[in-house]
Amino acid sequence: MTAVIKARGLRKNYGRFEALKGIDLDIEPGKIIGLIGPNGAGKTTAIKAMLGLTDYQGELKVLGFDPHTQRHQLMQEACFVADVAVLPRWIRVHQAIEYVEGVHPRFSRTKCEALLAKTKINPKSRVRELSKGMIVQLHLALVMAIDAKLLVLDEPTLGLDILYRREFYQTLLNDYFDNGKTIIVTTHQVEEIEHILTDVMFIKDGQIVLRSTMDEVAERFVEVMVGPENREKALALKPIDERQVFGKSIYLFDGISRKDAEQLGETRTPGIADVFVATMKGAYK
Amino acid sequence: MSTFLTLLKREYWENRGGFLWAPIIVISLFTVFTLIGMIAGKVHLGNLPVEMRSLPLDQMIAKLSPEQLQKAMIGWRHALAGFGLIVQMVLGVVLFFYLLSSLHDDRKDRSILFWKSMPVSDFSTLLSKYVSAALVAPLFAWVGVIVLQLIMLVMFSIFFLSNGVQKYTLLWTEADLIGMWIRMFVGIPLNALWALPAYGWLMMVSSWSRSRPFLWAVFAPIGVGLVLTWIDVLSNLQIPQSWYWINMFGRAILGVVPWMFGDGANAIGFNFSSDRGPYDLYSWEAMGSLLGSAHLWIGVVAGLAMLGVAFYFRRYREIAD
Repeated sequence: MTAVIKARGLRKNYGRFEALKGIDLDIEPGKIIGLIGPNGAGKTTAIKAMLGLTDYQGELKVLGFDPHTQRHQLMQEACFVADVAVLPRWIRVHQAIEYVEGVHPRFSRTKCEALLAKTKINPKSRVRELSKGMIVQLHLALVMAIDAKLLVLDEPTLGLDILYRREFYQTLLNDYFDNGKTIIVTTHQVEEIEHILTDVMFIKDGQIVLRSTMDEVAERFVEVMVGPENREKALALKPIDERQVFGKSIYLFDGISRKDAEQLGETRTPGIADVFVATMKGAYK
Repeated sequence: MSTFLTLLKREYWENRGGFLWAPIIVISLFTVFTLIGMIAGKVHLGNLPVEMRSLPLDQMIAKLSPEQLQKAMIGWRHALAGFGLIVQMVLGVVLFFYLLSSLHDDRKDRSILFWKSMPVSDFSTLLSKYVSAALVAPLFAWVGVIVLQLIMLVMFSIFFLSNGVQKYTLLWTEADLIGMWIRMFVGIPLNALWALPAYGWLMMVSSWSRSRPFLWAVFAPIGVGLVLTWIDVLSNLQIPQSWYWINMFGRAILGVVPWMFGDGANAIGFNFSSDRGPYDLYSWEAMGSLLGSAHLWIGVVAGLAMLGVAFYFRRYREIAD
């Protein structure tokens, strides 16, 4: 199986600022990847490069195409939500559907209408008459009705309430996703998506600092609640993060054995958010 | 092909106000004002002494020599063509603002990110906007002209009839309606070529400028013209000013108004005089001489070059966050 995305030494400079500092990347089909990083880390730049919205240095192939020069071919098979609330404000809901149906060979009106039926959106409304959340719902319904090989979602649920966010991610996983598809999601609400992700990628200062499957993350990182008596022992194993809860310390370890961990105290698998916070220390310095 | 039709529909949806409603509103207003004028005239006629109220217009018309009748009827043709010009002028204003915002508005409201997420090449996008300006909107205006002329014909027929003129049928038979409509129709693609520099210039500014395309599109050429005047004043260099204003400024800005080639290729606009009226504007001669002139084809090349620049910016420039 060929890689959906293949990057070698991907770089992008804005003047003197290095937004991407030479990224190497291979993403296989059939994955849901969370691209996670603090503001200004290069997430959006990386996504823009993959979608042919910016030029770059280095080698990059998306679905076998050069996204910068073969953007049109790429867009036949890839789709994206680059930012929420970018639907044109003058368009009516039924016109937006008709437009996508007219230009996109992989769009299914039935699917789109089924998704919209779950919302309160009136097909005759103009986008400018919809609430922020409804605009996002419409945009996602349009995009999810496209049978694309690669779907890129940049902060797709900004402005949506938690009920709809949950439902959206469930639909994404259960109805949209299959083995032939690849989904890349960025979001700051990491906790909400970790259960649907197959892979995770942390980006910091224009570099990928962690790239692994969710199973690997669960194996590699462990959180231990340590009483004062074992504190010295715990520190000797070089935890990557420490926080205090009810007088006890919770340490996050990277790559220690389960046995070592269990001797220190009560263990649990950390959430992606915990690992993220520990990994990103000093990101704003 | 269905993709391209969808793109044209998209342009229509966004610009229905300019393409459809602007001509309808102009036609309605003009009809209302004409009606008011006729009623006022009728009332005025009512104030005349009884013996003057029923003018023997029929007999007067019958007494006209064929030449005199011919002249009167040509005057009527000019009037009908003139009604059409009103719609065309409005079309010019609509097109100016349409083209200027065509590649700018969706960058301003960031909806370009949505359009660019669809499998539509930037070339098709540009082409759909050019075709909308060059063919779709003028077709609406063409229908608008026909509607306005028919409304005027009906109104004047009723006006004459109500004043006892039986020969009102001359208004219809001598109007050369079909001929005028055909020439106006053929003029649409010709005008699309002639106006390429204007369309190209406006779309290029629309695609390139980060903000305020209007100021760039209008004041940059005016500025250049003023600089030329300065050079002219300060040195003995004789720069042909009128050449700049006609062939550069005129073609790039005023050329957006349809039928600006009426005075031949090396000019802009149309000089009306006692023996040249609006009806002469829609002539085979004007169109024929235009097709054979280098000015047209040089303009086509310049327009295509500017559209190329517009395409480059649309295709490759990064969308600001």
